Amino acid sequence: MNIHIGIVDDHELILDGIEKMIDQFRDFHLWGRYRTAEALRRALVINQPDILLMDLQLPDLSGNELLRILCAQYPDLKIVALTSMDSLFNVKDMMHHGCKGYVTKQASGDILPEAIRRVFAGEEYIEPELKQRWTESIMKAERHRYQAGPLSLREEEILKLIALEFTTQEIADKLFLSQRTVDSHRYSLMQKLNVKNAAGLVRLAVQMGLVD
Amino acid sequence: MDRVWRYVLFLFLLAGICNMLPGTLTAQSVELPALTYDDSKISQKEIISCYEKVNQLIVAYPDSARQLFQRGIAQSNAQHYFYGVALHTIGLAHLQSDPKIALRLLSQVKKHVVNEQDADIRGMFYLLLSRVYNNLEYKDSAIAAAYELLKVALDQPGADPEEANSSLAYQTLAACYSNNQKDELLSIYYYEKALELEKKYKRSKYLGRIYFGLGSAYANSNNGDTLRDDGYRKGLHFLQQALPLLTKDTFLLLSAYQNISGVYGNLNDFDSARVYAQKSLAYSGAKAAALTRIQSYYLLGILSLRQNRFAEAINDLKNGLNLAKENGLRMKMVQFYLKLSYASDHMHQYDTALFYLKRYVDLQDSLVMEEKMKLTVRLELNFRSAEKDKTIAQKNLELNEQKNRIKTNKIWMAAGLLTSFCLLGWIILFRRNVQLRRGREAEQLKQELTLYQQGEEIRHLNAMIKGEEKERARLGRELHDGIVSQLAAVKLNMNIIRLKYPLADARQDYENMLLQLDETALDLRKTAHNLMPGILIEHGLVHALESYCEKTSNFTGIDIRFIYEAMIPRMEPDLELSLYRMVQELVQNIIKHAGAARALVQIDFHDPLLILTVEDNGTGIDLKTATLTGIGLSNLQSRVKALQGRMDIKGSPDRGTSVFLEFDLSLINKAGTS
Repeated sequence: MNIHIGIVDDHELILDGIEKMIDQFRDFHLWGRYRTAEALRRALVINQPDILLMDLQLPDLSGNELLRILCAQYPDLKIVALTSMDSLFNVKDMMHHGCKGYVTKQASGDILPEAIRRVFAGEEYIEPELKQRWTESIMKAERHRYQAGPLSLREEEILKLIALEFTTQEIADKLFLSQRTVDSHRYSLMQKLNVKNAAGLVRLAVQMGLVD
Repeated sequence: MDRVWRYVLFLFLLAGICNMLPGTLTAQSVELPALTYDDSKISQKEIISCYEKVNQLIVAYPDSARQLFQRGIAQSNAQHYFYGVALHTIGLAHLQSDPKIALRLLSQVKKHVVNEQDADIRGMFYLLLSRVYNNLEYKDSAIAAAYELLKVALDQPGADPEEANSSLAYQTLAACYSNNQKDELLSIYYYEKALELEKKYKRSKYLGRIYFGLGSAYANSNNGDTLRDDGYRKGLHFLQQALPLLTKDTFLLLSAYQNISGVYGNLNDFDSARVYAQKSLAYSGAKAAALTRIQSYYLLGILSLRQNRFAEAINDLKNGLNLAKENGLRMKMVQFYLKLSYASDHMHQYDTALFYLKRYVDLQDSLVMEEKMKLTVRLELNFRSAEKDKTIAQKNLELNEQKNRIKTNKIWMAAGLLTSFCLLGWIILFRRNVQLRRGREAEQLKQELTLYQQGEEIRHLNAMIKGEEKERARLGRELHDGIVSQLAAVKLNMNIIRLKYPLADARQDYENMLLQLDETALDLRKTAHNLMPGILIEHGLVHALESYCEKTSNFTGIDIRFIYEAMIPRMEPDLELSLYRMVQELVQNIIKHAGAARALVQIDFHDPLLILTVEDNGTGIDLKTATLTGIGLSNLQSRVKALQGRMDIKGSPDRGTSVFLEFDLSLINKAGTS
């Protein structure tokens, strides 16, 4: 089964490298290589490749914008992000908006062909290292979901003083802070601990053992 | 019955107010004098005397009077005698049968009249204006004009402020209110005030008219309530009182007959009602207006209907209908058609009944359509005048603002003057203790200098930081777009070599080389990213910090939690970058020095305060040995200073280190815009 592969990347060297990679496999065929989003889109009007390898930093359009446009225009087009950006934020953003694969340019040599084959077969593919990180972050978020965020040192101090029935002014004087600052902390404490008023704060302070 | 009733009253109003104008009652049989405005140069006094003579003609010779008024206007205009113009125009408007034209005439002279010293002309003007508005059914305007009239009357600097004019004003007001269906009580109130005045001054001139109005208003106030007939009884009482006083005023007399008939009808005393209706018909010979006769026929017809005398009813109604047709009064015709249809039905003449009913429906339809059109035009007019009012209000506002500005300027000038005096005094004082001053001044100067220096320092810091950031961004982009990409390409190529050629012995070296390349690329990428965090620019501080903490957590194994509870707004790119850098520096410090296992990065926003908290559970900072001089923290300090923020560091060996940074965004924005 032949796989026709298109590339869009503004670096000639990368384009060369990928083309060489494609030459290595008998079932891979170069559909076309383009340096700008505009040139790619003109070519896509005529026909579409099976897989499009897409850089996220093109000179005329950012990757996430181009992705949204292409997904709307060609719902069947399978896009694999090939980029040097490795933050989870980008990975999530791309995968949530219709990208079928995500591979960094620094990934080892056999990953890109693997990604192309898997995506061509209808699967989604994320480079293992990134996938690992993503899972971890999900697990971490899951762990933190049911427990209130840790209080900062100052928040703890302020919560304690609130529980001891000091006024905002007194707390501010005691900690050498402005009233505004104390108010701000009080506000974020209520959000963090998910309580609606001072009474709720006092109750939690007691629960946390900050006061007797 | 009620509907009939109201109509009678309405008729009276038009005529009644018309007759209140001064002059009309005295003109019974004045001969047409040989008076003209022909003289090319008559004096203003002569113009007035001419006017007074013409004014007496208006009942007997209305056409001549009209012509003479017009000439008077021309003559007054030629002499720029605005009082004369106004006087004659009001006279001319009074003679107009079309209220719209009258209104236009009155509007033309309004600006001259309202500022006129002479209260009489203002009184005349508002009296006529109220009447014209009433005829046009502009009720609010009519009432407003009547109140102006009252004001004129009460303000009159004469011997007795409550003389004739205020009685007239009360009558006008009462008449306006009696047109408004809900305000009969107000109408009664004003009529009674007028009556009181008339009695006080023992005058009979308006008495008949007031009794008539009072009676009609009372009757109307009963409002069809048959159980309580006080209003009808009182109305009847006053109307009867009016009758002997109205012998000279045919129109009002006939109206009074009709109204009395109507009240009797409402009280179910049909015989009495019939007597008065017939009186009204008998007196309204050829001389009276057709309307009065039509009205009489209608009354008779209805009374017959109520007494089940259908044949008589049809006869009366037909007479009325023919008269209405002759005069083209379609509003009346509608009523006749309906009643005729009703009567024919009772006479078992169903074809005729159907015929009348059809005519009724057709006519009613077209009338409703016309009414709608009128309403639309009215609404549009109202809208336009509202627009006009708005522009006028705007102009007034501008005017007031200008006035205020002038006032403020004056105050400033006064203040300036005052200040100059104070300054003079101060200089004298200054000379006396010049020595003391000098010392203090030097101190003040020093303070100012420090302040200035601080400001200068902040500016300098900002400039420096900005310059640095610019350089970093350039470097970062270059690294990322250039070298990192090239490295990636090299790696791609090397991967292919591995696939293409059997490397046999060189395999291990080759793998090592690839690993080295990976590490270099990774370092470079990190550096590039640190120099120029792409996410920050594209997606903002929160996402950038989140991503940074996640990655750093990943690289270092320190559990760094990023917390934000509030909505953090997008800020100026420079500011976001600066905040990002501060967190970066603090986290780098934790990695290098703290030996911590956990860390917390928190961002809070409570308008206008932005608070950054970076905490760890490491060894704690030793404030005494002043690690602050370490490059990281000194950078941090200058950044905080540049943003006029506050930094607060707390450290203890058992609890680690807490750093709080607080910024007032309103302060920063101000600095940014100035």
